Amino acid sequence: MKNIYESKHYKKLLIIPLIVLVVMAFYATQVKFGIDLRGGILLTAPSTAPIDAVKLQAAISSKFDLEDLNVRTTSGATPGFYIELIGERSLLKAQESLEAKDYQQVIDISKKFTGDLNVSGDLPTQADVYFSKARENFKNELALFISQQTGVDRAQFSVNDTGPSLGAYFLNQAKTAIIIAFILIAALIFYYFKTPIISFAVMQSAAFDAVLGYAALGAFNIPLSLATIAPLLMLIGYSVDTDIMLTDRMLKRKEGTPATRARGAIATGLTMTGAAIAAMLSLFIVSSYANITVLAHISFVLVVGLVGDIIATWCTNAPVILWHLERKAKKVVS
Amino acid sequence: MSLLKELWKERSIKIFLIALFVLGVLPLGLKGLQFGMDFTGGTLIQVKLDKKLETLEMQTVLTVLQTRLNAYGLKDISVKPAGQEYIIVAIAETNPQSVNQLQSLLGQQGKFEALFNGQVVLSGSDIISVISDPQKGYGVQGVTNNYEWIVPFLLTNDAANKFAQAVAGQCTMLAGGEQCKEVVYMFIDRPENAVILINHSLYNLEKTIPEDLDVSTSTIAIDELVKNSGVELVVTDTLDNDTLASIKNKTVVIPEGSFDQKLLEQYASKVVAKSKAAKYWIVNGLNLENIVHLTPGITEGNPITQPSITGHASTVQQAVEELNRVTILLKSGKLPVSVSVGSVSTISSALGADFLKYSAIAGGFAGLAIIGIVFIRYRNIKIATPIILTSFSEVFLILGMAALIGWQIDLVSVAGIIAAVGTGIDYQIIIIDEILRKEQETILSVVARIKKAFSIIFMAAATIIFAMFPLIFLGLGTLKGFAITTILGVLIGLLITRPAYASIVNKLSTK
Repeated sequence: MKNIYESKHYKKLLIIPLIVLVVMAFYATQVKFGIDLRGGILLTAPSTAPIDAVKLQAAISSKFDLEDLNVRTTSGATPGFYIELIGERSLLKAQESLEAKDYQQVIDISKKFTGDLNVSGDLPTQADVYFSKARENFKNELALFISQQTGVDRAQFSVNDTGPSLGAYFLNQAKTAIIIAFILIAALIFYYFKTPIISFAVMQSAAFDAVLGYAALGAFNIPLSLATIAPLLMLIGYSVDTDIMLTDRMLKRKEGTPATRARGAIATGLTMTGAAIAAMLSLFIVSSYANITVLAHISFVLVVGLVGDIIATWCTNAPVILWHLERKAKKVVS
Repeated sequence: MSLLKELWKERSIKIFLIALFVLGVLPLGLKGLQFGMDFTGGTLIQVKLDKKLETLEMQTVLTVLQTRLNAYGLKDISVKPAGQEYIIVAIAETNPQSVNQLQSLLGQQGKFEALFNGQVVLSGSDIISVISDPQKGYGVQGVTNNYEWIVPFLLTNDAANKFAQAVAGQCTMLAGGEQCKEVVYMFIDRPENAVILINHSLYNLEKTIPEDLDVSTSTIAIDELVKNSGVELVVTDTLDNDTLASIKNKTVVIPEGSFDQKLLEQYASKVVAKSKAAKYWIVNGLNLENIVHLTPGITEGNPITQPSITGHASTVQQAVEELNRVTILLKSGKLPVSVSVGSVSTISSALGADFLKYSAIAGGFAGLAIIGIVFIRYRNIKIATPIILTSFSEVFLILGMAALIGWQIDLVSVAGIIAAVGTGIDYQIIIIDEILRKEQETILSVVARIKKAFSIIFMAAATIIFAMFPLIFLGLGTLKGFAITTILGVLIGLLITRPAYASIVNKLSTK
């Protein structure tokens, strides 16, 4: 096979990751947060009588304006149904307003559920009270409606309500984890490679993989949850593996031209990434078949990110390092 | 044979074999693997606190909840704070009945009070211990038509004296000459600064209730009961202005579904809707546990240090449940804030067993896939076999280490293990390619090249560890498992299996 890195046009390789990035940037904006990060309601109940999930979903949708309503029935050991939703649309808006500190807006929206409340205190406190009351009232109305629709006693419902504050806490911790991890890794990379351009190339590749994994969540409608954050961090680790190998071969070795060394590294790199993809793909297939959502999501994010790593390493990093070496060579000559 | 002999001389191989035994075989054989809730089944209960707590108070709450769960007889429990407002409790129990009971145990503040004439005469801090000795009356016994449960407890001397003083001379003898007419009311979580709001039909229905709350002997008027509980009673059928004015800034307790809760919330500081769990609603509304007649002895100044709380139930099971609830609440003491159970999620053990089976299958398939890739690339059994053996021993060692530190394997850990093995393969591929390189054969020895490969590997391993590091220390629950297994796997690979692998490959390639 012809060595692309020996061609004059090797810089054109950079177009591929750019296109991928533009497409993925769109999907990255579509990512939805799961219940554990955003807060939301999961209502489960046992029911021996058969329940038509589609009909129930339609009934609930026509009564309430809900974000991401998902009704499913379960069979086997615990027959019943579970209903998952992020929240009521206007309440979610109120939550956004609360985060944006637009307290009057929060109160205005919440009043739809609570009526006028006699609360004292400053505006933020009032908004808090209104909002939590509104949430509570909505939850009761919803449970009551579902109970009427299914004929299952309300006392049997198990309602898993991750309040926005707990979700926000997890989200905050997760963000902190990602930032700390990135800083640590950046420090390590700069320490190891010393050259800023190379270090940046390695860092961008790591970021590219993580962004791709993240965008995959948006593209395939998988919620970003605690379980899907772990593989995003893992991707940074995987990505750096191949980058180090490539960079090491191109910079620290002397035999052949940089282009032939880059070409030689491809075999090793693809075997590395290929093995990881194969492992994660098998995990994805088996866990999807067995309905183990957590594992399916984790492995899926890793597969997409690893495919992205092939692009990031061989279409971005390799050309950037080649270009860097060429410039250095020119400087020496002149 | 000579190859094996030569290998045995290598230090890295010795370390590897010793590690395999000490970190793998021993812990797995002696302690065994512990599986998390995902695989064994279990229940996750979210407890919401009424307000944000600082570390010290939070510690109190954690200890009290832990004590309650232990007292209930649960072993594998974890009680962890999530932020300052939430506590997440994980237990191995999945039986719905037990879970229900636990919910009520975790959702109660556990504030014990005894009232006489509307004044608190005893509180939880006066109790030294619960006497759970059947010889001294503790337990459940069958009486006419129902079952009686008794929880005796021990008071401090000070409290006993104080109590005796409070009731001194307050005895109007009843017929029979053993008991006074005057009674003491005992509560767990009595509503504070509260108004009880009921309609006329309920009021008339429960106008008088039996004193022992279940079986009918002598009765007590609801007005009397409420007055002595230190709360107000408002009987009305409509929420008129007078009623609404009377509840302003108070806690309102109403029967579930009786009044317009939204309207009440505009005036009251808190609205509590109580279901009719007991035979009489008012008993549940007040959280009344027990009504006890004074005896002439105590009113004459002889303090009692061992009072008891008793109650009746129509089945043995209910009586035992009540007995346990009161015992546990008294034993664990009260929480510094009032609490409520936010959510409960249960994974049935059948589902968990399925998850375990399929996780193992998934792991097996992942292994096969890796073997496939390695064979496709190298087409050489001499190269592929050590890679496969190394990976297997890595999984074995990670599991052994998990057993050693008592880490519970859950779903995310499985993903972590597979991810760690995946990076392990990466490093072996780097080593093998470094050795196989033809160009440098004349310049560098195999040993030098392995050394070179290791500088890459150290760096790569450090990156993964750095990436996973923050997850261990932040309160992110499940992610910790992923981080721990991955880091363990990478460390094991770096320090134990990879050096051994390099030695094997080295020996093989120089043959």
